[in-house]
Amino acid sequence: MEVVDYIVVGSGCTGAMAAQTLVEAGVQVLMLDGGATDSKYAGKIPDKDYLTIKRDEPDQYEYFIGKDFEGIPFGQVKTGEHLTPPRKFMLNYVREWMPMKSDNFFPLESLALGGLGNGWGLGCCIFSGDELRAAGLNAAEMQGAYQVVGNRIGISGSKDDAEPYTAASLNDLMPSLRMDSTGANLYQNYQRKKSGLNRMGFYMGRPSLALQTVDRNGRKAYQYKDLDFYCDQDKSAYRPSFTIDELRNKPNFRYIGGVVVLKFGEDDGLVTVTCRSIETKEILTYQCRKLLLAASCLSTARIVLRSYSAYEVRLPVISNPYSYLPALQPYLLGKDADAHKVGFAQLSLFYDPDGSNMNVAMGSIYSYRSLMAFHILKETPLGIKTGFRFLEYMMPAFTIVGLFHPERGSAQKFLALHKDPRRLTGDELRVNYTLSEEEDRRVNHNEREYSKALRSMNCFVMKKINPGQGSGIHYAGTLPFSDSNERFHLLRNGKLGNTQNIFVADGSGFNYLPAKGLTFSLMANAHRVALNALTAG
Amino acid sequence: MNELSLSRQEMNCYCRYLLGKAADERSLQLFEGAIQHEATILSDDEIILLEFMIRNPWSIGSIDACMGLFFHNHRLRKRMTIAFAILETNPMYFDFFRPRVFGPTYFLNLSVSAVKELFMALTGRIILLFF
Repeated sequence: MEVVDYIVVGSGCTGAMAAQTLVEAGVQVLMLDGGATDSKYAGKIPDKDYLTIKRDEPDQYEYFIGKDFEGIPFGQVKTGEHLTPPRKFMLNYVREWMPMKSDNFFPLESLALGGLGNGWGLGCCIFSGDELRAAGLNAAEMQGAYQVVGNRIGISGSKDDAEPYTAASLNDLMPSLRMDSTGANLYQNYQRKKSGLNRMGFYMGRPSLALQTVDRNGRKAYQYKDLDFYCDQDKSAYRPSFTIDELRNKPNFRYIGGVVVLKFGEDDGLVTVTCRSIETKEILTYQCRKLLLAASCLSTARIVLRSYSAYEVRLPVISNPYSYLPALQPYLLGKDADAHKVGFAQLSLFYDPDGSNMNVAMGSIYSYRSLMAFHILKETPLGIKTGFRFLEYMMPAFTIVGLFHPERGSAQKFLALHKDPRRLTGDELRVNYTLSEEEDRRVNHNEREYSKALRSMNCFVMKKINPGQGSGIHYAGTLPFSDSNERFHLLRNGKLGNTQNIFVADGSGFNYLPAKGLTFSLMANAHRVALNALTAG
Repeated sequence: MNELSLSRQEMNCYCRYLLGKAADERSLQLFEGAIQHEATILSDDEIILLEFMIRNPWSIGSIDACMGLFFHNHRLRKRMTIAFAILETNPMYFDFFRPRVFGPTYFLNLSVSAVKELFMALTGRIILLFF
């Protein structure tokens, strides 16, 4: 059997960054991946803006509500139901190959090429020194890694009040994207009330986004087509599949999609990786000198537990509590809607009451249009016809605040793998995730403070929606960083405890999850772990 | 009425109610496909209510308002939402759905609509007592 230098498991944001670091170092890399792609809608969406498509395209229902109407949530809305039809491929094979059971935790997982990165909101934040230490990371190592990853993916942003919390301190930042009227009006109100808001602990600014606003590296500047939830036509928004596509042109990189990694074993300095083909169900094995797991922390936990036949062993898990606050800016009611709306976050509102840049809550502020009226209409207490009359009047004023809360582990947040011979993997992951009363109180307190702060900016929260634990799509902490070389822990360099050549490049090691956008830090950590894997032993 | 012709009449009924015009052939076909989902299949009682709505289009506004306020997850509301989604993604009806600018008095119109909606919802509640 051929032995490669490195196997990287997973092609999401962390897998892509780790693989790029290894390939650039000149070693042989094999990537094993679920590899699901969009065969249904790829290339179907015309190169036009949202309103032009709405006016001209007879087949628009295919990608807006789905050929099989999968864009219309018929029943109870679960995590992932909000994905638009062209993004639904992210969920392909997940139910069969990543079985999960829980009464109180509803995560989003993916076996797609590019993983959850296909739906990433692009927010890039740099964790403060205290946050990095609490997560178990080395601040100095991470600072360099942030810059490397920033250069690779291209970041736009602004130096403003939010700079300490975003990635605006990085070099070579592109200008922020243009705000639409929803963002611009709120930002103007913030500037007017700034001193009072700062006293309350609120700081608003333009988010740093992995979104190009100038043409660079073969990717185009953002074109304001308002199709951000549907496609990546001009490649202005970073997706990990772009990195994988580039790596596939390199002689020292090989990609194998359509497989699910089941387990690994170490013997005589070599690592054997066992997979199963998604299509044929055939068992396949590959060998390498070092293995980097970057399958996302829930899948990595499955692989590690299965490799040790550690069934019913509990591992911790952390996920940021998430809520969203639909709000209205009355000044914009009935006003002329912008021709060019923006689907990505336009503003970030950070809540840092003691000014320590630790335990900060983060609100991302969005306007609403291209997800269409019917999604909101079904939630209103009005009939469909009258509801639409209200909605079209309210639409320019409609503001959505997505709110993340910082999170730590506890004994009530755990997962375990249970044997289940009916499953293709032979097992099923079971998760319990319960917040303590104190944690619940903290989340409620943050929501109340955000409502107050927004009200002072003439933006009125209509409702608080808590979609359930796991819906924030930030997961970590299953194999916590530790200084001792123990099983089910990671050493600080990312090596899995009690192994010789197994590294973990996703967020499994993080002992603490700041509320700030996690993905950029995961990518920086993946780069750091790949560098450590190159130099270790 | 057989199920097929009933669903076409249903879509037509929604389209006339929502947009004031008959549905085009494509929207009718799409609606027939979309309502095959398990969560939208009607019970016998709901079919009787639907037939009543089709025969008495004056009642739809009241039943719609009533379902919005009291029966949020009613299957007929789900089916009307599907009809709305199909119409919203049909360029033939773009003018109805395009963003508009509203005058300062529109808020008053909406306030009147809200009061009317409440009255309609109560009327709808009375109608639904018979089903």
